[in-house]
Amino acid sequence: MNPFQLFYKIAMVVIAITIGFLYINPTISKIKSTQDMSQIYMEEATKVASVNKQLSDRLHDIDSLTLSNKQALLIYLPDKIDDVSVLKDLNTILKQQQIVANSLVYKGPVIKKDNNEVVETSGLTTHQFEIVADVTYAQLKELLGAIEINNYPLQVALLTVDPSENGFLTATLLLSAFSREIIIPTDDQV
Amino acid sequence: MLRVVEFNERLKFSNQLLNSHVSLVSLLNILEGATTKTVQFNSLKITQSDQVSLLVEAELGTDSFDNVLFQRGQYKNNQSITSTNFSNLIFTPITIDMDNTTTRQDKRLIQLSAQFIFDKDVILYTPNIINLPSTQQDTNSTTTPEETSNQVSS
Repeated sequence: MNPFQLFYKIAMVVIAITIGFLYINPTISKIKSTQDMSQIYMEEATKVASVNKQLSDRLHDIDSLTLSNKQALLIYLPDKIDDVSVLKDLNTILKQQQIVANSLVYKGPVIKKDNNEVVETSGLTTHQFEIVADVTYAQLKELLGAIEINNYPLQVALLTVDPSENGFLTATLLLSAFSREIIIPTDDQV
Repeated sequence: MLRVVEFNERLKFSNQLLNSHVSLVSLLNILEGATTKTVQFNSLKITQSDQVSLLVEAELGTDSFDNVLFQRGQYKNNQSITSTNFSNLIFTPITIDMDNTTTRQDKRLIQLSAQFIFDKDVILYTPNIINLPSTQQDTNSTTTPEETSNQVSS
């Protein structure tokens, strides 16, 4: 046997192993990685399609609501509180109960954070209004009853009742009305 | 997407507000029902103590210790009142008005402070079906639009 031929064979084997180790193996790994990525992409694409379907269903649900229901929701929780309108409404309620207020004041907004939510994308703003009036006990109950059935929430945050002159009671009501400030998250916040 | 998220948030917050909508008329009715005729409320203060309860502070007046004991029992036995606490009891004996020699009936002999805690669940507002708005406008109604617009029940 020619020693040169033996060396040639060994060299060829070494070169083959080297090619296999340095080129084929990484290429196979790369293909495997690409296949994995492709699989993940397919799964994510399925998820996105599912979310889009859900989104489409929800949009359909929203669109199928009657205009009066949408308006009622907007009145119940508006984007902004018009303090003059609320004061006018309160005055109308007082008039209906034949109560003349000693004072009717907008006390301003109080920012209230969402409960236990770390990421804040929206907030509920509380606006406070104060009514001070001399009333009978029956009138006070009627007034509270009328406030309860208002078409937007007027929560009584504080009620104090103290005796006044001529058998009347001086009632001080601190009422909370609510608006929802919409904060659209930016790309940095998402 | 934004439209759905915005609508969902509005619904969520509205639901929260609806679920925490309490009726102070119910609270006053409970207090009225649990208070005996021999006890008088001199003042009343209602505050939101926390997310789930209301705190009622009152100054009460009555004529005898028996009334205080009986009233305390009545409040404690009332299932609608979560807790009751009487404090600062002041007993003032009958004094004679020297000018017209009559007893002072306008002021009770015993004055005390009372604290009541009400769970919001007990006094949640429940809509009355009679108050629901009709689907058609009542053309014979004498009330003005501005008066009716803010008095529609939920």
